[in-house]
This record gives sequence, structure tokens and C-alpha cells, in this order.
Amino acid sequence: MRLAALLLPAIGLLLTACFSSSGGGSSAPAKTYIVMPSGQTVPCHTGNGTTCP
Amino acid sequence: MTGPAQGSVALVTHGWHTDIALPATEATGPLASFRRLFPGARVLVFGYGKRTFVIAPAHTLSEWVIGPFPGPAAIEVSAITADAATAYGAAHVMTLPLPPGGAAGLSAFLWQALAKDDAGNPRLIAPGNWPGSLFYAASSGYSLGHTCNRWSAEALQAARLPIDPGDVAFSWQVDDQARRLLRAPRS
Repeated sequence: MRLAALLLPAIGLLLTACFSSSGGGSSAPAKTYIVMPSGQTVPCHTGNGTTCP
Repeated sequence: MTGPAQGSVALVTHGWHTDIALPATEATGPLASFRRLFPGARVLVFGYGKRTFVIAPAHTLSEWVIGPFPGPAAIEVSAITADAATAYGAAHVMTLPLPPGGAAGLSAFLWQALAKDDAGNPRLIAPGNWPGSLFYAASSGYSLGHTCNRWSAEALQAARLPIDPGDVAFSWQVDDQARRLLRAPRS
């Protein structure tokens, strides 16, 4: 029971980390093959490190 | 699977995480708009995850602790000029042939998975994890019962592949099902 109480949060963290830039998630493809998007304006999010005007 | 294969989909595995890679020519219906967004794309790549970790990656213990709780999700969209195995490495990619209607089913699933703005366009929320990728709001929420890997399994199921997303939480669970599918004799 105690083990489960310790393991479940750990598993939860690992699953959530599947999308964290610091904890795994998608890996970039080889740079040679990346297509840059055209005409998309990304909204400003200070929390993401994006520079806001 | 019955009938000749009509296109393909790739499951891209990055450790704990999986992505879905769809040849751009197989993106049908409204999803085809991503072909215009990524001119010259050969493959479109979609990945699902918890939005909190996208907009403001966790840096403190308390942020990590609240991570597993349910919350809004995001979908990372990117595009490549090569097939997925070339761009990510063959060891990380399983390419599955699609049955008739599979590409349309997958396109519909991916489009539905994106939350829309008032104009009906996918709602862009942030730049992605690397230059060239974009995060969009997801129409479904993230939880430990609906992880990135469960979402990938749902996408493959929507592509009319015999994948059961029911108990999928970890990447190897969807990976194993895809591997079995590749080994199964084709009818």
C-alpha cells in the first residue's frame, strides 16, 4: 500500500513528463528535414519565454 | 486488415512519448490546410500532451507535483520533408499500412482533436519545442487516463487499425500493439 502510494505519483509525473521540454516529450527531427510554417502568428505567452511587446 | 493498403501512418516513439506521423498527401478534409501551412511538407507530425507543461514548462518541485492532475491539453504540430524513419531514425519509427478509409478516418480524428477558434480554425497557443513546430489547443483534456500515448492509440484506431487504446498509458503499450500488427500476416 505504502509502495503504491509512492509509485503512483512517480508514474504520474513520468506520464506528464511525456510532454515537458525538460522531461522528454517529442524530439525534434533531424534539422535538415524540418519545414518552417508560413504565415502563422504565435500569440504572446510570457510563461513560455516568448518575448512580449 | 482486409483489402490492399491505402497509404500509411507512422508511430514515432520518443522514450515516454509517442507521435503520429501522417504523409501530407494523406491529410484530407480540413486537415489538408496544414499542407498549406507547411509548404513542401512530405509528412505532418502530431503529438499530444498536457498544456501546462507546454506553455510554462515545470521548473520547480511544486509544478512537477501538480503535473499529473487533469488539465487542458495541447497538440504539437510539425512537418518534415522526409519520411519519418529518415527524419527521426528508423529505430524510433514504425510505419503501418492503412486499410481503405484509414487515412480519412485519421484525418478526421486529428482535425477533431484540435480545438477551434471562433472562425473555425485550429487555435494556435504557442511556439513548439523547436523552431518549426507549433502548439495548438486540444479539444480533449489531459489526465493520467488520457495521456499522449493513449491519444496516439486512439489516432491509430481512428485510422481503422486494430489497436485498442483501452488500457494504454505508456509508450511501450501502444508500441507493442503496433509491433504485433506489423508482424501479423496480411490478408
